[in-house]
Amino acid sequence: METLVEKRKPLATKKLKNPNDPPRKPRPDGKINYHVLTDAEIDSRRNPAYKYLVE
Amino acid sequence: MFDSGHKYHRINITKVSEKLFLRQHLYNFRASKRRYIAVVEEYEFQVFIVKFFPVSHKLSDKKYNVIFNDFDAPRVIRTCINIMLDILAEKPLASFGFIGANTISNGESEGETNTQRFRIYTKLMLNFLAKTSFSHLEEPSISAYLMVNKKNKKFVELIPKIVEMFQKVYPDLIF
Repeated sequence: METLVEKRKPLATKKLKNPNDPPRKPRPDGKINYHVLTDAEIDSRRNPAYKYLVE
Repeated sequence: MFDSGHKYHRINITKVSEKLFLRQHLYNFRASKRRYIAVVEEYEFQVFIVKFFPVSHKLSDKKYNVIFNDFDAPRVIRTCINIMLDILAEKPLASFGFIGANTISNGESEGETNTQRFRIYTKLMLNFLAKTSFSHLEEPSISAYLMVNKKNKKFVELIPKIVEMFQKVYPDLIF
């Protein structure tokens, strides 16, 4: 007997390219390439209007 | 914005039999239009990863990717930050991390690199957690962020150990 309810098809997903994406270059050793932010980088990126919750 | 969160409750702490992480701390809170669960995974070296999702989507494999027009995101995110602060009060040597999940909405998926969530959470962590207390590490290509607590003795040596641990636990992160 045929069922009236059809199996729902999965929604098609489309990858959006983010213009801010850094290039994806794998490291030769295959390790995660974490970048430790310097004090200057942190100062330039944070908003001084916010008060620290942890000092 | 991000000045106050919702009231939250700790549900339980469970030991996890899988080798991925040591314990799972569960919290819940009621936001303006829906209820949320916050999951805090506790890893080796006192590293805590905070995740949250709406209760209505707890069975969905995209529970971390959905987005709502509730206009409540700042308070929801601040609630999770308050949970982090609670953990820090309990465990002063705790370090934290997150991966900014990519948004999937209306059948379209954001790329996994430098996601919108990653950009917002990173800015908040830089604004709220002082560089004198935490070493901030980022990897935008996988939208990952790590804050290593400087109260740990030899925290500089701890950083590669934590990164190595995550590589072992989540080999999919390597590309």
